[in-house]
Amino acid sequence: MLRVEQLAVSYGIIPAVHDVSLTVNEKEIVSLIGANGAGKTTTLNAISGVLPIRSGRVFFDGQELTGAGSHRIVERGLIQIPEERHLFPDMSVAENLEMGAFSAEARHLARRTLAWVHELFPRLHERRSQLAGTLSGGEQQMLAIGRGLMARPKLLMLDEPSLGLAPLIVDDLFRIMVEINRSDVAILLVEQNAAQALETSHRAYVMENGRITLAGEAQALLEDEQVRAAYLGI
Amino acid sequence: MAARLGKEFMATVSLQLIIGGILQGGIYALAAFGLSLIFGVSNILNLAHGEFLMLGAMVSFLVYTGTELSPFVTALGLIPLFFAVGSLFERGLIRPLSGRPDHMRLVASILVTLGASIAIEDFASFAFGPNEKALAYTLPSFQVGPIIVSTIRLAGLAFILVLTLALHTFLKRTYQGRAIVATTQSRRGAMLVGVNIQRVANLSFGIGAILAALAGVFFVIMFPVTPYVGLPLTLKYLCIIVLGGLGSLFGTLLGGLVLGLVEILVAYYSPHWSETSAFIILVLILLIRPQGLFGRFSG
Repeated sequence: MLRVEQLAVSYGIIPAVHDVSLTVNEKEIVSLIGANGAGKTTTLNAISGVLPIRSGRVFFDGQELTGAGSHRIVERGLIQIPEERHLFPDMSVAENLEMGAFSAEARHLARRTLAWVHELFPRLHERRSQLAGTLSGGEQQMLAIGRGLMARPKLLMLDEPSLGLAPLIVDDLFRIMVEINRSDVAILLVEQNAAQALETSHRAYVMENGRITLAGEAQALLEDEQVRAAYLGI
Repeated sequence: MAARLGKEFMATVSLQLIIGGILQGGIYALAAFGLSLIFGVSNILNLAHGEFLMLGAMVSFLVYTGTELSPFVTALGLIPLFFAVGSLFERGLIRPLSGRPDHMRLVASILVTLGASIAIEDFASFAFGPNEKALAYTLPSFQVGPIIVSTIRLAGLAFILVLTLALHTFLKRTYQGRAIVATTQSRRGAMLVGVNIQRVANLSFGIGAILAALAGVFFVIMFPVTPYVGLPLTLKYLCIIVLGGLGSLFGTLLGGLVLGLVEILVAYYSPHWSETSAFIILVLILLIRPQGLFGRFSG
């Protein structure tokens, strides 16, 4: 479904990501793990068209997306939920969700999608008229995911959804992520919380210093000595 | 008896002052709102913004002296004309700067729009002549009790009010309008929900130019206009935006009203200080409440 070939990204003249190739198949959950600054977020930003790609190619759903504008990429159903969330702080929860269904196709389905989002996150329904900027961290993360779902994604790229949240809320988020995946949405997950990410995923990639150094079934990586030592703290 | 007359006189004068202040404030608010919109959407400081006002005033003056057409009718014609002007301005001068890092683009935009501002000023002084132009358009005034009310000022106020409501409806109810508001609140967020940032930037320049030009139509009714009013006005709009709070569109409207009122009141009691009051207010605001009346501190 998503195929990234030899992606390279740099900030000015400083290279950040080199030669990254990865795939996500339909209905899969794939995680991308690695230390801070390994280039995980940069990779996602390049795929979603927020950062310019220096070289390499991105294919999605049979079409090449390399260098397409971010709005075109959203239209195709490839949605990124950024780590910093980037909500619209002075809009209400309901207005944020409405903005999520901005592209033409999502607009038609907006009412039905909204019912689904409210079912996944009843809290968003309770808080629908509250300004997004006044929500708690966990609620903001729910809204960020809800807003992403409003765009009717075929593939959701989640960047550190659990960062800074209480363990109970994190468990909730992982459970909901699996539920979203069951509705035929593929997921590419970037996580610091490697153990929980690997337990939830089908496959995974490990990134170090801007390169992919290891790839495989999530279960196999969970048992890999190197991964256990470096990322699972075992 | 004398005391009562004095009181009535004061009431009349202050009501007229307030109407004049609100109108002047409304004109400020219109033009500054456009500048605020452009800044909020693209992080571009458009130093040529006052030139749109000057051009709007010049066109309105020429049309009136040529055909005696009411400036209010001219104003309607200026809407499509200045949408095209603003839109072309963005396409030709601003879009080539995109793709640079934010801080470099801000500096580049200041240089480019300052250059454009000087060029437009020169062009206008060559085309329309450097002398002052005043549009002697009047409507019969009417009297309510002891108070004489200027119809043209009321009409101007009504026009500005309708325009503000139309703008509000556009920003709140239409998809393109919401995309603009969303982009001012989070550029990255707007990109990630599928807003075409370039189109929104273009639209905001078009709307900004319309608002400035319409402000120019009222400006030339109240004050004489030369080709050189643009840049000083731009500086005043910057004060208004900071006063209202960077990034707060509503704050900009209120900031414009406040400044208009203050200027008119100060002008009545001590004319020399009127022009300076904007900058005094700016300094006070920066000292007391640096984020502006309705601003947020977040980057």
